[in-house]
Amino acid sequence: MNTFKTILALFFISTSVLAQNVEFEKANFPDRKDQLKEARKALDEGKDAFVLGRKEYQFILDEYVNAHGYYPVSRNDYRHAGDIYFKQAKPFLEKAQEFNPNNADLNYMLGFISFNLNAQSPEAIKYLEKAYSLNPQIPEDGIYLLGWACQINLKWDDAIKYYQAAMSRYSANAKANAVPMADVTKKIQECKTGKLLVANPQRIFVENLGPEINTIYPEYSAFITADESMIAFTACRNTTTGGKSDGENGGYFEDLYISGKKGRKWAPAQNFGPVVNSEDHDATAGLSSDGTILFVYKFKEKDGGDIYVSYLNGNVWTKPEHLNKNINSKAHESSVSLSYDGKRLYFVSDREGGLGDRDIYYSDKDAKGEWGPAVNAGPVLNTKYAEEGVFIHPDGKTIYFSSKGHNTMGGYDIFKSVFENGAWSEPENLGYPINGPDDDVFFVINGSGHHGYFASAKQGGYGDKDIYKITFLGPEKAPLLMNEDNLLASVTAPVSEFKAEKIESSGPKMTILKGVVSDEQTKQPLEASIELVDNTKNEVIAVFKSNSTTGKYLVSLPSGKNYGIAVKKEGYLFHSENFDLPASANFQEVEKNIELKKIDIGKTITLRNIFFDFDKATIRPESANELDRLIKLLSENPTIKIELGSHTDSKGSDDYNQKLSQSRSQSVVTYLIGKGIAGDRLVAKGYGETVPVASNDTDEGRQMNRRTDFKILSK
Amino acid sequence: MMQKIVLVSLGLLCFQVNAQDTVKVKTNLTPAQEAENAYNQGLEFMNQKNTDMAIESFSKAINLNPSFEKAYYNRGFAKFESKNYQGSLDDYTKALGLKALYPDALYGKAQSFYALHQNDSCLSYLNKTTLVDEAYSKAYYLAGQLKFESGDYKEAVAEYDKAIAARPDYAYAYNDRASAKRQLGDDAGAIADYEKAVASDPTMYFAYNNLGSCKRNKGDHAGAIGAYNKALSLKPDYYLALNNRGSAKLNSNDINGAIADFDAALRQKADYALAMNNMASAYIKKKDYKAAEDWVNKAIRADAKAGAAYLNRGIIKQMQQNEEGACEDWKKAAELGIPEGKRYASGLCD
Repeated sequence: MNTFKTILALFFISTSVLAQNVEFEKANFPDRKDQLKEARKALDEGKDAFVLGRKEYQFILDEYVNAHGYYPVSRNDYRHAGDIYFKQAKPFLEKAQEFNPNNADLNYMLGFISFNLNAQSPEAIKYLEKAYSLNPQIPEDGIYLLGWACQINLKWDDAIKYYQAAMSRYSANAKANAVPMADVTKKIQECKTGKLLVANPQRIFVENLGPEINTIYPEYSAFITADESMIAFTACRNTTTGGKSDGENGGYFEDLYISGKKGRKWAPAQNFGPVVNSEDHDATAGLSSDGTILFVYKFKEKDGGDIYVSYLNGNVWTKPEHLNKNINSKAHESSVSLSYDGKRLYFVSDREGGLGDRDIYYSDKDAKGEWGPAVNAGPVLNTKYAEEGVFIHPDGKTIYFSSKGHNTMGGYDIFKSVFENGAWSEPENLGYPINGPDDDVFFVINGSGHHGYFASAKQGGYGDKDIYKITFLGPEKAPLLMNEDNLLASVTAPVSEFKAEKIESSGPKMTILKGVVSDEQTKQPLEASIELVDNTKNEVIAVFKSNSTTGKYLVSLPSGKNYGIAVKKEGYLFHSENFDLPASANFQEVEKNIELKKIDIGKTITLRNIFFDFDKATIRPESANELDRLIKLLSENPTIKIELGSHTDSKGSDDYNQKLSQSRSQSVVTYLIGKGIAGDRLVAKGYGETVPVASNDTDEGRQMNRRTDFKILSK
Repeated sequence: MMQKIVLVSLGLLCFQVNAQDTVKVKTNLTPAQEAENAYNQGLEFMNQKNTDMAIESFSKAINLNPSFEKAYYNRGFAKFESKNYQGSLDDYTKALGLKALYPDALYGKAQSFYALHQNDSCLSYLNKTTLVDEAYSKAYYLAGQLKFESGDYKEAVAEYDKAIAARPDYAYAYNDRASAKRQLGDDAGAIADYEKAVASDPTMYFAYNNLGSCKRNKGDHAGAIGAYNKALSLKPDYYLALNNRGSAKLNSNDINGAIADFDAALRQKADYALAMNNMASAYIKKKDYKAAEDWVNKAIRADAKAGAAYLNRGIIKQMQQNEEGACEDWKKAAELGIPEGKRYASGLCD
């Protein structure tokens, strides 16, 4: 790159021809010779430090361009290059500026430094605009940075104006300046996007998670469970494992922290402890939606940064295990996200063969439970720029990620895409103020889609980066007016009229089922397996476990399936639940505590996943999984005899219901005999509508009453 | 657009007094002549709105002449006016026993059945009335009203069509047909009919109000405000129109104008929950959530079943970052039949 040489050459161009530009020369300050001398000295010292910083800056820029083929998109891509020198230079240059505020080169240097040290500061714009007005021939990167400073401060029109001015300068040598020109074109587009998004802001509330989570140290990269009962995040605190500081940025090494909700408040965050955290950098990379699987990022020079996994076993997190080579390559792997069924892992990697910089990949779990080959998520999601912070929502189809491509308004922006009809939708920018012109990354969202979590170093926090919660208010809710008219001439009573603007129901279509599994008699929490079955396909979708210490479980059920759920533990009767969720079923959170019953005489369970044709005794195919479980139970307990009791709701006559229920229970018995269970172990009994478990006045109640129970008659 | 019909009371049925022609009195009084005198006296009392004395006079006429069908009819009418609907029904029946093809008595019976909430019998007698006199416009009109009240707006329009065919300047029928069309979503037809109603009777302030509301629902806020202005020029204390004009102003983002109108409506009717709720809506639009909360609480105190007020309080609470309170109110709004309540609560509040 010859850019640096060009800039230096331009930097020393004499600007004395411009009347408003004032050089540090005696002729310009005839009565202030001593002060001029001091000012010149300060200027020279400042300039020396600036040039060193500028060289380092240029080195990083050239390195970046060589690696990527395009200019850095984010401020952070410059990795604070030159900052040490810029900090040295600044007080000297400010002293010189105090003496002579009308020198173009000095204003250029101060603007350059101000932007690099704090791009949001209005100083960068002030100095660079002054420099440009004093001498429009300041180095083109000064005009470029002026555009960028305006962009970062949401001054879109000014940004576009200065970018266009920079473009005009670059185009004088278009061949040599192809890379910066391409970047200016991108940044102008970012400004146009930003202008549109800022004009139509999202309705949100942003709230700091408070001192239980945030401190004066950096906190970031937060992950939450679908029900927001737990948060895991990264922090660089003085309590870091090993107490070491990072020489590069002076801060403490990263550790992972955890907190749980107490009512509506977070409990004080705790360090995950030495099993999960090491004396080096350890950062959160992902968390399963039930909060039992934690992904950890650890950096080692030789592997470029890899992902590890830790499991919650009771109340103990296991030692993080390195994910296999399909996930971890020699390149950099960062954030990961596990699908609701635990069968697909989305992750970010900058391995070779991608579409450019970091890309989103996924890997499916094979039959042996190993992660299979990584597959690039494709060009709809991935761009030639970097993607980061992938998060697959527990609804199973909505992905959130950050990208420097697509229609970002600058740096990383957060996007959303939905997998429908076999393809990802065009990524949609989440809009302002979720996104701004700087980097917005590592965003997660709860099950209902109403709350998101992210980190920001915004003012008013507890120090450095803090974790914030976003509440999405959705489209503006029009207040509902009440009106009435005298519609009928001969009737005096007014007729009321209600009118509200319609708002389409939005948000995730899914159900969160959660609760505690315990022993029916002792009430002690149980570690049970929770089998999730797609009844229509008769396929086991996933198997989860309740926590051995707390008995807690959480299962995400995306709408659009008839789910059978079997909670099983050896020595206990299994418990079954059915959730028939049409694709249109809106988000709901169902809390269901399950008490498993020991296999004992007189114990009864309800088989919620045995289905019959309407008004018939024909067993429907989607009952197969439940019946198989029953067969397994009878096979494993060969001495027990059971009664299969069928029940109806109160619709229809007593006699009809009695006969129907008897036929249905007999159908189940016949099925079991056909599968090898001895007939003398089975009793079919129809109860008709005589034993309701819920009111027959509602659809829900009637559904509860239509059921098949089995009872252990003897052991 | 969702419209909820609540016809609370029958109230003043504006049936025009249908007293029979005066009978000429002769000088040499026979019992029949005395009966005629008593009958005429009864009519006089009716004109003075003294129904008790009228009933007494008509009874005297009937005693003197038991086959005096007009006296039965008018006593029935007087009883109807004094809200003795069973009594009026009996007298109309007697009148019809003396004169079977008596359209006024048939219609009177229909009215009595209507007042006694016996709608099937009412409709049956309305049919009989128009069989006897196919130009009996009031019978078609009342049939239209019955259909309207039962929610059968299409049938109501058909009955009003017949009423208007029988009497082309029938302003009430135009107004009511317009309202039925409005319920059917035919705003253009409704507006045309309301305009015909006020053309036939330019003093019909409520028809101007209805016209305004129809235009407001169509988004023609300027047109609506014009119509409400006309209604208010005819009846300045018409709080419905004040409240409605405020809504039109609010919809056209004249928030201060809206507040002034809601305030004026409340000066006419201090406990008017609708205007209180709408005042809250105006302050929501102003993003003055404290004032909005005060007003919406007043609305709920005035009418605990004002679902819209609960919905609005939920909106206010959400903007005050009180999610739990918002959920509680939206669920209550849903319970009170406001569908938006369920939609807003969905997901956030489960």
